[in-house]
Amino acid sequence: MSSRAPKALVVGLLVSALFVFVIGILWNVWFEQAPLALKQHIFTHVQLPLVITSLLVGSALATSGATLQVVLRNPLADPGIIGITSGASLVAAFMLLATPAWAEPFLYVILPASCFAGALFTTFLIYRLARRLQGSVTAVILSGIAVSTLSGAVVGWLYLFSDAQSLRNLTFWLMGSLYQTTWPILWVSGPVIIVSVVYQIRQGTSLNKLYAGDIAAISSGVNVQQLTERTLLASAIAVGAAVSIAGAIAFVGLLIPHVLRLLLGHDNRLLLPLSALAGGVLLLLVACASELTSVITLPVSMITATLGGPLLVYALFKGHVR
Amino acid sequence: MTNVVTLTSIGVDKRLTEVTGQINQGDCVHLLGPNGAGKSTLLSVIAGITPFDNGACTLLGNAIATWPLSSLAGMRCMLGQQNYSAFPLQVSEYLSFYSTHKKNRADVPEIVEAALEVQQFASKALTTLSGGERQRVELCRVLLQVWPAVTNGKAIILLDEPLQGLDIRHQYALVSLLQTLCERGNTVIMSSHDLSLSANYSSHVWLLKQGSVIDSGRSRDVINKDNLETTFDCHFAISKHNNFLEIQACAPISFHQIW
Repeated sequence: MSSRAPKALVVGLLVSALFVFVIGILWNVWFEQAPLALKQHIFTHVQLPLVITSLLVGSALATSGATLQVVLRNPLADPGIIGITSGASLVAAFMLLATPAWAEPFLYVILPASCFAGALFTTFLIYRLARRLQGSVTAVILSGIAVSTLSGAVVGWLYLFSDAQSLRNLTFWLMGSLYQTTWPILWVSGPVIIVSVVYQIRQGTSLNKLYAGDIAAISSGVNVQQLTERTLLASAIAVGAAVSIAGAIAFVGLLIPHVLRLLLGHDNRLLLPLSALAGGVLLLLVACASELTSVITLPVSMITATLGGPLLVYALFKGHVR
Repeated sequence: MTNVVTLTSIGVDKRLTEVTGQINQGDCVHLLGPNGAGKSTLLSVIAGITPFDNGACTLLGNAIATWPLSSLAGMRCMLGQQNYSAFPLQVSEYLSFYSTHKKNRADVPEIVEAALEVQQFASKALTTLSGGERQRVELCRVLLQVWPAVTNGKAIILLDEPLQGLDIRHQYALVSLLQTLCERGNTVIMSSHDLSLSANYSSHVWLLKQGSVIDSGRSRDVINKDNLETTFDCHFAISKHNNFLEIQACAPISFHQIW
């Protein structure tokens, strides 16, 4: 077992990274020659939403990933891998193309709502499948792959029948973007994410008891079925809201909890809040990188997968994922 | 003598039929029987984990269903059969999650450490332990959960095949630890497949077969040739050396006739 990093150090690093990245995002416009009114406009309409979106989406994905891994007893569970995000983006993609022209002004409401519905429906499906195939650890992953494959196929068909503008919108849903939010969506999704993430964080003590299996958890006083249902629902809600803001962002839910477990161990009372913080910081890093390069806006999944892929391979080699 | 568990014609699906019996404080009860006889189901019913279809089960005079999970957690513990955690938790961290110690530290009581010797794995990952080492950690976890009750002599300790995977030294260390705990007033109910060990280290024995109790009572009264042969469908020879029962089973099938 590797020696653990002191938690004060990890928290300190994360908090200072948070400030550095926020300043990084605000930097490039604020110190240029431009009228104050324009700067203020950019601040309230671009930079502030960008910072809030990154923090909300990152914490929703990372915390939900950490929770799902413990609840489904599968270190590979991730909102993306078990199909919640793909279910959500499938419904969103479908709505994007199916919405008639007259309804397009309402798209900013329709899309998040359908994403949300998609995430809840997929979670329900996966939960039922997992219960039916009880005892099999791979069941959840397999049903997730089935759902992802299915939605991949449907999205493929949608591509064939869509025009150029819709294609670009579609790509946003599939690769994720931190720049598409508007204040009204943030006002709705923000509180939803905060409540569902805080709920998950508060279950740390009970989630710790799941490590020894159902019998051990029940005999030490945890209502396992209730805990499973509620935490699954909370993580589906958080992920659904995150996808509705920023599209399907891969790997955050897998990457952050795994790295934190390597550093700090498996105590969920510590792991869940720090996942929320670190997830937010990671997406701020992505946002900061694309703000500072500002050549093109980078698809978020491209960066998270580039970071996450090698780290996952490293974890596999070290034997931390079985 | 306080009555701890009372079972009145318990029936569970097709797994248990008409199970009736009483267990008193300080008893060390061993459940013996062939595979699929219902030992695990019975333990799980007494733990309040498996609901039953017929009959009544009371714990300290109150119906088991009326006990809230949180109060049960402080007075009875249950070891299930081997469960493989997919996460490489550190042993000390794992134990601390189930410890009732105020700071959630995994302070293994001296007497438990003497029997189970788990401190040497404290910084190892759960997934790197062998089957028997893992079993010792699990036993330690289960005892830590109710340790305050154990020290007051009020705990009910339910163990499903606790001897599984343990080497001979730790098998005997465990059963004598359990005996010591019973002498202080704690109640132990466990299933086992080691007839000799059970015969000598239990106060009571229940023989189960196909979901029914064949016989139950004081170990020396219940363990006899007839009862064992009815329960297990094979021949036994029982002998006594210095008040120590030795039980030998004869192979039930002659393979020369088949092959």
